[in-house]
Amino acid sequence: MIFLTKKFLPLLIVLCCSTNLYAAPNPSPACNGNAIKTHFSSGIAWSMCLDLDRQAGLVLKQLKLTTLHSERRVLGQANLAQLETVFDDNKSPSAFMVTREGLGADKLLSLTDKDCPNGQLYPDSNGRNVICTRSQAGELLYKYAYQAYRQASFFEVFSISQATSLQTYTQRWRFYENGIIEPALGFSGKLPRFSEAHLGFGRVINESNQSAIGFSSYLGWRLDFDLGRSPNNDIAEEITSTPSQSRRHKSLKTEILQQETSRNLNPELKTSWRIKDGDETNDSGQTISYEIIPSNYYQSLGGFRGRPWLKSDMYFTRYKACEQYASDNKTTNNCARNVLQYIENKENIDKSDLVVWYKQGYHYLPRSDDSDYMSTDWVSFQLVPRDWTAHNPL
Amino acid sequence: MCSAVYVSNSVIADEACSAAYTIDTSLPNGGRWTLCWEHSLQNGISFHHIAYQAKNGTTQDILYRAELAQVHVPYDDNGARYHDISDYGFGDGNLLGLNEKECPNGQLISYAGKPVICQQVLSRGEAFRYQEKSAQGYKLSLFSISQIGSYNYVPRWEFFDNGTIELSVGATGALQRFTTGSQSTQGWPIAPDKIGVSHLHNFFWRLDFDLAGNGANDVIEEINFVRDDGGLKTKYEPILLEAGRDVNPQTMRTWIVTDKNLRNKANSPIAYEIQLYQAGQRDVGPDEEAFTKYDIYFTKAKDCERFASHNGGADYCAKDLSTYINDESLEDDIIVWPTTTFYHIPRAEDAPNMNVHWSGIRLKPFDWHNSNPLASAIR
Repeated sequence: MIFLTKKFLPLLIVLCCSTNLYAAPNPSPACNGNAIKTHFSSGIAWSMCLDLDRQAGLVLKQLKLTTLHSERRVLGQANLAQLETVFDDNKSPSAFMVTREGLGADKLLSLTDKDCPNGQLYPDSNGRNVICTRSQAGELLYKYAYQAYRQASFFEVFSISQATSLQTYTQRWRFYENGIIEPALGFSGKLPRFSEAHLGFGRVINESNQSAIGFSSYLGWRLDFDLGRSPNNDIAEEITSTPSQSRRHKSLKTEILQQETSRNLNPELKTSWRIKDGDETNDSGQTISYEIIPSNYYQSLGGFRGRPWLKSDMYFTRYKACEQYASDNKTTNNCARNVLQYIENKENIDKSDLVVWYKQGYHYLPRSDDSDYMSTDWVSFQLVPRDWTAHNPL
Repeated sequence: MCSAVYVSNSVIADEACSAAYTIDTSLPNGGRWTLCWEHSLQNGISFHHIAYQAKNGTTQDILYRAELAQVHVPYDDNGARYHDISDYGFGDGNLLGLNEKECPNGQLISYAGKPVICQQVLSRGEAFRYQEKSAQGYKLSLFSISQIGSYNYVPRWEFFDNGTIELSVGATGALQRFTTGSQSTQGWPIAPDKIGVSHLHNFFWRLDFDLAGNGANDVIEEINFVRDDGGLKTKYEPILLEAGRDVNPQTMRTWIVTDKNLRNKANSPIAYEIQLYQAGQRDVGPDEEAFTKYDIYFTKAKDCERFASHNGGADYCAKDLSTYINDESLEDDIIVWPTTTFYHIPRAEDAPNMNVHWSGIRLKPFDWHNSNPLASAIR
């Protein structure tokens, strides 16, 4: 439904161009999937629409966070928008798990209570239980000597996709009581490929003379931020801290990204990004925002042979309905093929409907310990509220 | 599990310490961990004689000793550069007493009458899955809490039923340093006229590996993935002399500690991989803090080299990691010093109480087993 709303935006512009576009009413789109609202005892609540897509599998829509006195939207839509797997011997064609194999529809495994301990199962449109939601309490939130102590909970949502007969992926989103959002992908299944050891790729991990072949997986996360009431006035800001010549001081700088662009992680400058709203503030008058905390830097630039979209870690684009996947996007109706092409025309993104794409790298190194059932391995990152509230609401 | 012909000359935990200092936990789906703990003024809680028995396997020593060996906290305005472990100490009065509420479904372990360690067995979600077949995994979790100034640090040690070990430190409490004003290049406004000063937490662990109970035959290998024959080949390079090394996102570099004698059924040396998965905020400080230069250090084991920086007794021992690495051979016992950094730009949510932030590293079995030990449930 959000696509529909956005598709008619140009129409709205025509209809109300004499008034402030951003004041146009933005009715919450109806949820075609499972509408879920979870309340913690603190009064903090998350609400969302859990939708299922044939390609992407689990899709999160209209994610809103209620703190003590107000509900605010964070994301209009978020999902894994590509999972490209390349084996170390590069002998088989690239596998686009989202756009070609698909992680949704019949790829979604039916879940039972055993898969979802102490949780709740939700059905797809055919009545098959494919989504698990559950909460976990008792995690340390803060402690200050003997004066202050609090625990908090998180709520998690996951679905499991059998992308090929051997490769299983779990898409898991955790929503913490303190406002942190943690998307994660779990890799499991059986070791997917072996080849003759003498070819020199991969590693021998059992008593055969076959080598298990390692692989790189490139995750393209699509985060359509729609902070607050209006989806059309979000701002991307880059934060850097430059060391002084002596390296004893650091100097913080913020820069608003004006045009569609790509960016890279840079530990030297501690580069990070936040998405802030064009007009909404917390009780102290600070602009509300969410910061992106990437992870897995140590595997972030591995061998992007002939895959230019992997060159950068982050892409910032202006919302376009047809730009759905990080790579291998359908090019019908002149739509661009991948994130690198999405940013080519450098459209203005300041106070726009922003979409952030995070390319995350993962490399799997085979070992006997995963023979021949792999231990589920997770790769995740976080979205952390920055000045969303004027103080810690907990 | 591992070769039966190998005769261990080590002592496992229950012989290395008295019952009061022994932790022996069998996890619900298999896997058993035995270890000893001890208290010291500076490190707080240290662990030694850490051994793991895989499901249906025999007990094998992994670490002779392991501890958090520095928390270095330089502020962006250069107004303070703390060395919290060596200069303040995580033990004694700074080690906070815990209560039952802080240790849900767990067990409190006391030192000198004060409960200081929380021991829990926690679910860790799916352990493995193959189509419809799967099993849930569990882990032994141990944590303590030390108060240094306004910060409360939570060193946490998690031992999984598949042999993985996760070491992390939570930072909570309250912000330590502020300036006034509405704007600053060295911090972030967290309330009207109040700026929290940005800072780093550089965490260093000291890990004395003794795989299979003998540290003298352990070897460090660096693994890089390099382009070759149109694909990516796995290149192994032994590190024979003391060295500091960095992550390399281009070659997806990683390190393993291997045992020269003991091999698994695939004829591979048993090993543990050291993953620095949170290296994205790695920081190199000023010249006088050369111990911050690298992400991981490998040194010859010396009893007096205890802390990553501000090492005591500098008259007879080197002062920090930068001087521990002086090209000595790693042929004998090896110490691995993994590090990770959290760069904290304060935010309004950090006051009045600051939510915990976790920083960590991971030790992962690498050809330690012959096959996935937990999957025997579905074979």
